[in-house]
Amino acid sequence: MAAVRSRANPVGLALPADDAAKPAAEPEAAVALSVVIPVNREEPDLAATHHAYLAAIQRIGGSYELIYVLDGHYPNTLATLRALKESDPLLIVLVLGGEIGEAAALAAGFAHARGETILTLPAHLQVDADDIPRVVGALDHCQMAIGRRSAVNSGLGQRLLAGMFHRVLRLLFGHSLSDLVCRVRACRRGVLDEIGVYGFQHHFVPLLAQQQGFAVHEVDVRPGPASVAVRRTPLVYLGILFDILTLYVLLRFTKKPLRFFGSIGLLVLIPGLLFTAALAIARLFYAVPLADRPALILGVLMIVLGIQIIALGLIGEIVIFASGRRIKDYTIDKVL
Amino acid sequence: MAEHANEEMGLSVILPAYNEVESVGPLYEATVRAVEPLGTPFEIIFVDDGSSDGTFARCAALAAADPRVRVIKLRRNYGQTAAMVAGIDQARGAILITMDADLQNDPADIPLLVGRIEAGYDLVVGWRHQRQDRFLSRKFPSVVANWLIARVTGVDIKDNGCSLKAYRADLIKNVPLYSEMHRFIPAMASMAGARIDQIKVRHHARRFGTSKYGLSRIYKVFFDMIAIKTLLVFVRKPGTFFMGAGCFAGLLALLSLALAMIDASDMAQDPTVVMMGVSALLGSLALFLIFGGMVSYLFYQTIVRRRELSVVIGSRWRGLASHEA
Repeated sequence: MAAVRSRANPVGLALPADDAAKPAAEPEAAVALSVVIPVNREEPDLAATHHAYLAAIQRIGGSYELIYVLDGHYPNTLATLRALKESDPLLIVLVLGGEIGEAAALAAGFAHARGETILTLPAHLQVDADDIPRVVGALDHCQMAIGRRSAVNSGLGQRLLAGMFHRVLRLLFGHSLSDLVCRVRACRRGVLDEIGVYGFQHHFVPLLAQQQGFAVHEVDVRPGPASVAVRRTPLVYLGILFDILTLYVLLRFTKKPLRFFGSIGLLVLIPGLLFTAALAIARLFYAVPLADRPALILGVLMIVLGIQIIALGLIGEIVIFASGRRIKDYTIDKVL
Repeated sequence: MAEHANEEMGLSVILPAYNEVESVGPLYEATVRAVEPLGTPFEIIFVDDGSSDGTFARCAALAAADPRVRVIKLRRNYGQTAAMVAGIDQARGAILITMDADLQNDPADIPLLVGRIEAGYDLVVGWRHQRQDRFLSRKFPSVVANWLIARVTGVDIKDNGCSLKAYRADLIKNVPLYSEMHRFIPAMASMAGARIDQIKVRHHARRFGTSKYGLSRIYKVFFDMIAIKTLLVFVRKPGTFFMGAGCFAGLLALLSLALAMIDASDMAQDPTVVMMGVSALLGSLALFLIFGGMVSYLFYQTIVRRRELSVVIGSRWRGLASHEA
């Protein structure tokens, strides 16, 4: 199990493949569908899940490949996968060096995927496997199709939180998708190539795709037996909400940092200037003493803070400008 | 290879269109009428900026009928700058023209602009001296903005908003244009040492459709202008821009420190603490600015643009020499 570093294997994954020489010749043979399944905990039912998925994928028809990405050390799950690989040598299992996050795991899987269509599935039966062919089939009319579980039987508090979450999304992005938690997502290769999956963004891949002008369809699916397994605490939603705000600023102001930092900086700088000027006038012309109170320090502090925030915006502008020609603001759909 | 293509194609007319289905046909005819007499091979590039009204179909029909027409369809609406850049990137001509597709600019002015480029200018900007738009919402803000932009950037252009412009392709393809930079093309081009001219052009009232602008752009233009000014100063002296500001803050810090020391001898009051505090704050600002300057200098040096910009200036002289020869 030697770690191999190559272009197709950028993160130096340990490949439990039989021989290291074979994959070099293989990539030319493209497959129609690549299924990427990230695993981020021990999955006792993985064998059953695998067979359910396999049956569903074979029903779609066409060539396919299955890629499991293990994000961390899960000996039992790895043993299960080894046993599965005995019977199905085409199975690809990637083991990441440590727990480096779902986004990185997905990215590693995508880097290995050779298919024109990529399907991501959770390692537990979040949806009824019988509905998966319909999700992939929906790609005939759009570039990305995601599952939407019809009725997740969760408590009232859970639903309220989820509702609020989606309302914030709609407020910020002008649209929302109703089941972002569902990890059954199929898309064309080009979608992923363009939006990229990094950091925390794997939650929002469908939203980002929509933002980039791709057609994203939701396909109603029945929830699977493991659908309720994931319980979300309010704290988790808070974390995601913070991610969303970061994403919002990134999407709107990446190329115009001064618009963002400048408006905030001015909001601090201008009151600071006015306040300091008022203090100076009061001191000079009306002999109001300044020495016995910290008012002047507050005024100067606001000025300093305002200038610092604006300076950050300007530094951002310089960075953007320096890489200006490399930023491509647009994507071409067709040239006639 | 690229130069060979440039020799074949003399002129590219770039027309970014967003929901301009009625204008496309008349615009095409007027452009051909204006450009054909010049006798140089030309191409007309329609950039469909994610229109939803059948603009693409209309353009595609034109392209099918006339091989000189090319159509670029963007995946969604990216805005005017991105559409223009898409056209510029795809254009093969030695001279590029950009123009609004709403028929407010008159294609009949194209030969005038081309003439100025051939006279040795790198960029020729149209000036809508008799602008046919509503005064309060369009013309007045524009006059104020142009005056401000001229003051601040030091590039005296009367009408930055006019999208009828002509460029030498070598120059504009090397000027970084992104986000909503199209208003500042003259300022950005001046960074590369471009020779800029402006001429009066005709302007017509809108015949079809509605204007796609609003007043909300004022705050954007304001901040963009400050950003451009910073870039202009920074590109000339990358090492000193923030340093200067930092040293100024440092001087103020020293001044308030001196004040604190002087007042300390005055027993009537005891302002030392307050002035010391102010001095410390200003001192921290000075350090922040100096370090910020170092960071941006580092960035600038590592992703260097200077070489590309100097290439632009060099090629201008080459272009002039070949023109005279």
